[in-house]
Amino acid sequence: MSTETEAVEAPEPSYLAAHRGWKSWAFSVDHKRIAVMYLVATTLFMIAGGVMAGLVRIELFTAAGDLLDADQYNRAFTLHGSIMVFLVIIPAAPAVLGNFVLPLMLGARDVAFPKLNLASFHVYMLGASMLLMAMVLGSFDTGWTFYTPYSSTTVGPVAWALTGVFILGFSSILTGLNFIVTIHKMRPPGMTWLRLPLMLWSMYATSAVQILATPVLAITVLLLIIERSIGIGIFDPTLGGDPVLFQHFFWFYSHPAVYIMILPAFGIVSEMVAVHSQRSIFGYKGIAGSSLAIAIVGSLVWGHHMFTSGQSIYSSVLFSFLTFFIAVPTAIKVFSWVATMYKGRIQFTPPMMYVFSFLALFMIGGLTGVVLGALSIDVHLHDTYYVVAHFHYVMMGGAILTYIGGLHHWWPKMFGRMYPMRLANITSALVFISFNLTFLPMFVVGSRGMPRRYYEYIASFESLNQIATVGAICLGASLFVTLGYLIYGAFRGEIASENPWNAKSLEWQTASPPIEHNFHYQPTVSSTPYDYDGAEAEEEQKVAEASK
Amino acid sequence: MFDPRFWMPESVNALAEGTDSLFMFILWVSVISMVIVCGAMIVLAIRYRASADVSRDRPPRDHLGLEVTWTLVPTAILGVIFFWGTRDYVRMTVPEPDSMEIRVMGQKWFWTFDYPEQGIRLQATEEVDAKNASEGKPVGLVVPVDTPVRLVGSSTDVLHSVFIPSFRMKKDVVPNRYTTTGFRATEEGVYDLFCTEYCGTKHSNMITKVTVLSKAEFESFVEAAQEAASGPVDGATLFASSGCAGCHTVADVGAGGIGPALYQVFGREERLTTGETVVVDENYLRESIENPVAKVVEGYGPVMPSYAGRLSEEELTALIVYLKGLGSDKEAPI
Repeated sequence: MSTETEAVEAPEPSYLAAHRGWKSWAFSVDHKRIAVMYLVATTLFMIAGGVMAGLVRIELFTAAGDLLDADQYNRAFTLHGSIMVFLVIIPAAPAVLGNFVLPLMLGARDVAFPKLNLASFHVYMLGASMLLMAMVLGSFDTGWTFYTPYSSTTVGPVAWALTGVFILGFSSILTGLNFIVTIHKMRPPGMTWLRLPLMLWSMYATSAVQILATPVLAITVLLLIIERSIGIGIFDPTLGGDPVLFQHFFWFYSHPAVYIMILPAFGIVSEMVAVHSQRSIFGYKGIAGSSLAIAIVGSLVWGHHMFTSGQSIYSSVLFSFLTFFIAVPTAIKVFSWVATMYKGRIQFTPPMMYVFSFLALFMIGGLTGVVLGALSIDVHLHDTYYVVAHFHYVMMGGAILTYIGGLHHWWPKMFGRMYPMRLANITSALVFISFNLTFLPMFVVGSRGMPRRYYEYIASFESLNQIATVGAICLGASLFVTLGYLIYGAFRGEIASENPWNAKSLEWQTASPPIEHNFHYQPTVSSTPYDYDGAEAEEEQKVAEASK
Repeated sequence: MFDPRFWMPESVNALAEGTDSLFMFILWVSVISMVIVCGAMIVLAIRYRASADVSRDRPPRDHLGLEVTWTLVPTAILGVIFFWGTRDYVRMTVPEPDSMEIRVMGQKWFWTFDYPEQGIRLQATEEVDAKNASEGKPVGLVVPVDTPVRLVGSSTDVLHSVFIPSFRMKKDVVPNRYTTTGFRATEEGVYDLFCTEYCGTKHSNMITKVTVLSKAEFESFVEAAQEAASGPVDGATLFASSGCAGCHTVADVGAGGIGPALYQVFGREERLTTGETVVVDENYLRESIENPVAKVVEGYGPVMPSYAGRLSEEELTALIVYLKGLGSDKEAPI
């Protein structure tokens, strides 16, 4: 019926073609346009953060300092960490993919508060400008963790950077708030909580953490600004403050922030593994429930960053215990994704390649996290390159590469065109190989004793560092190829159909790219979006017949 | 890869005995898990590839037995790891009774080791370490073998962290509070000691050694150190051992390092960060040692740690006399 009426009407322009001029972008309240703006911004910042990583890796190619001087090196790793954490990983998956697909998956016209959504973007750009301003004003060398009393005493525009982080937090809170309200209030008829796409379950969990944890970061950063600017002693011991208190405050946010980064990746993988295996997801309730469990327990493990800080033994034991608890829901998810492939119809598409890559890298990241959770071993490995390798496996291998995989999955929906698939498959393999080449040696050099944030190091660590640097250069090159073909695909790629992957969720039931208001009609839902074998629809029918 | 020596240097700390075996245990658990998960992934990907003609009848959506199993088995293994790691951690952290006490002080960018029972102080600056190594003397932290040692750490400026990989031991040192840890070295030898808490420009140079001596050698080392400490105070030696040389140059080399160049410093007119100028005299030198951030020379940061209470009146005077003599006609008197 609907196809007949559509054929009569003139085709409605897509959201990309509906308006012209820069103002139609910068002041658009359309969630899709906002997502694209976030995409451009986070990509530019990712390149900047990547260049900093490149400088760090090239400097570490030899044991002696040569390319940079020590202060420049300290600034380079500080900028790498700050840009990647605050400007890229935290916003990327929720603000780009979440913004784009969340209303579409709900069959809604937009998020609940479109103007607030635009405000989040403007606040994000303001905060990012502040942080980059600090870079221009001579840069800062505190590390992204801003540990006191170093950060309260070092010279440089630290207060600018902190103000930037403070402002960025509001963007994160507003986005989380918007998503939670949207998921609660704007689900289409028939979409019960247990029919919610898993992407939305994980966005929901992410948003909850954003709202609850980010204010603590804001408070911490504000206290540090006050201490630096007017000398009220909070963290600086020379003013009567407590530097370990800062670590508690900081990780109270920054550990949950790890889950702000990785939970969206869990959602993306859940969608991709079901769609590209063309079957129902295994263990829907287990995956959805474990997202919530991770969000809750993940807020209670911050002290595992502080086992050697001088906090009490009893705190350390408790935090270690809770840390092991969080490994269980994570394991459940991984097993469920693998089981989803059983009796599937597996498509070797780029998104599926990123699922394979994710499972392997995230397993390594998670298992080395178990090593670090064990108290006695953490004492040896804390603040060494082992930790650096571990969190890059989780943050980059887990979060960023999966976000890039998610871009491959939704790219045809976002731009209505397909990127070159074969090239994408080959490049995804290159990314995987060079990623491991970069970060596997760091586990070894770290457990052998190389501390992190070292500008120079002893000669016996040199060969492993050289492997890592070569890997990093290959990784950077592979990622630039990825960026290149994605941009090519968006402008010149083959025209994509409405639903190139044969997916069942609602965003694929409208045009590619979608029209400005997403749908011509109000979609309804009668099963989870993974009902490939029709078992749920059958069940539904039986219930309906019985009630007659 | 399955040899602990591939991963870590040999462990020579009796209190950290269980660490390596737990590490290897988790490594085996990890390898087996990787093989199971990635193996299943590869097998399933090949068997159920889209072009394969296999039965896909009614793919299961859940399986209670399987899900309970893969919840409980990891929980049990993680429980074992938790108890194992905690037991060893408590043993490492709670020092053995009758331990010899050594106080560790971290400051930008060198270590100071005080032995209250022996009444000696060892300074591990780059200059002192290099000198000791060239003279064949013990370098850095010097401890006797098979003796329980309790380390009590603190810092005079920012956070630092004592890390001795061969001891599997690490502890942050924090200003205004004490942190403690301990070890009992089982093998004589020389091992690396690193700072692992980022502390600024020369963080990666804040490294020294741990020298483990036999008990007899340690006795004679202590006696020699006590004797040296009772001798006359020498400004040049103090300059090297107090860490000054890490940041300040004394020869006629033009530019300064992290701190101002001290060649011909006495009587020089210096411009301060506040815009004021000051003529370097005895009192300015004294103030700059005891309260370095009060008057900072333009172009430099307020990064120097305070030496107030760290140097005796006699030492302070010797140091200032040495600084006065730098580059002047009158060489510093001893």
